[in-house]
Amino acid sequence: MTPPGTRLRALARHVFDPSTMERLIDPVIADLQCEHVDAARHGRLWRARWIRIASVIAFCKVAAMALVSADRDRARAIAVALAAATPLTAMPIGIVLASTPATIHTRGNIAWLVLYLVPQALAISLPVSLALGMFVWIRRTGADSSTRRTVLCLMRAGLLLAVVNASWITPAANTAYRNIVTGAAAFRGVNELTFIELGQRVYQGSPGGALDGPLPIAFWLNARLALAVAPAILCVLAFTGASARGRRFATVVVFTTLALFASCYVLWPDYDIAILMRWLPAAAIAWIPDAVAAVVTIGLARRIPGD
Amino acid sequence: MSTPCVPTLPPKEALILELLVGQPEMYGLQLVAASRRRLKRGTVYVTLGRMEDKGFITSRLEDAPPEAGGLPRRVYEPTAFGRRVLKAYAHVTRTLTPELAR
Repeated sequence: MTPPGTRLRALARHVFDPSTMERLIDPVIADLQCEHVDAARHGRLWRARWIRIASVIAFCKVAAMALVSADRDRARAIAVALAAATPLTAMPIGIVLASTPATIHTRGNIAWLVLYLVPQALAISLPVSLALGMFVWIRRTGADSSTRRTVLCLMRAGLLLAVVNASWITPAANTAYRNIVTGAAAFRGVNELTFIELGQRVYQGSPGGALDGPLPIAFWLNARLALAVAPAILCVLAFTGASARGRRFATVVVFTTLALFASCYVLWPDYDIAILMRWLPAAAIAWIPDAVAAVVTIGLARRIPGD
Repeated sequence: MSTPCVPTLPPKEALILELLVGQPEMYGLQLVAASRRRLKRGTVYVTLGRMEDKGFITSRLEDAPPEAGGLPRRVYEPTAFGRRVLKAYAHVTRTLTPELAR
């Protein structure tokens, strides 16, 4: 049997240099292994379990501190992304919760309701905070080849997470949310349907149900698609903005675009969007936030030196 | 004229030095236990690493007991420089405490 902490150590070796491993990570793992063996030898099962938990927490703290001291720019970028993600996640959750009718089913289930709303809020906060963190990081470190590789890697991860979230996690969480509010297996509206189900309804020419509001299903399918690809579009915006000439101008443009993008999804009421349908097809309206970000990116790309 | 670099000794580092001066060698966890919760297991190694960089302490790897079968543990002891810094720190604290308490 492998000693406890072996996997944690293997994971840390991918991230930290040998000196950090030797001085910070290995002593924590060695403590865990020694204490765990000692507790197990004396038959103190709960003590052994507690040592595992305490050591994992200690490992996380040491790893976080080592990361911060190793690369302050990266730490600053993570802090900015988290600082942006927190209100951006909390705001949509608060808005939906405030409009949810209080019933005997919702009483005592507030924690579950909040939890089920997190995926929907993350669909907006993830791409925006990722782009913001990336912008701050590249602005300070410069866009060398290593940074480009990391950006590409983060962009792929963000894209994958957003697609999975928009396709399956959010519909499942929304279904669970609606079931709690109604106290029974409720009718599934557009927010509870997966990509495939939405696509099938659009193909069948379904106009949408009464619970779906004033917008057609084609809008919801395209809005979900637009959110799923948003990490890629916003990451390119962040990279372009961070590489562009005119530090202050680029910062204002990128921050304004990201704020506009987030407010389109959080603050734009369905009925106002429906008014736009007099001039534009529903599917096109759903892509407006992404299109604005793409246009701004093209504009900023012209300010990249040497291009 | 260049200013000579005066070593700083934050309270946690002073505490570690005080604990180490009283013992021949100690593990990180022994320091945590001896500090009566003033040191935490999640941060003690970061502080110890910083103190090694400053030259206050030195460390060596001690083989784990054969029945443990895990990684070797690291034991720490103060350097002569660390002892001198602690002595100077204690002297300054003793001298200035009445004035600071005013």
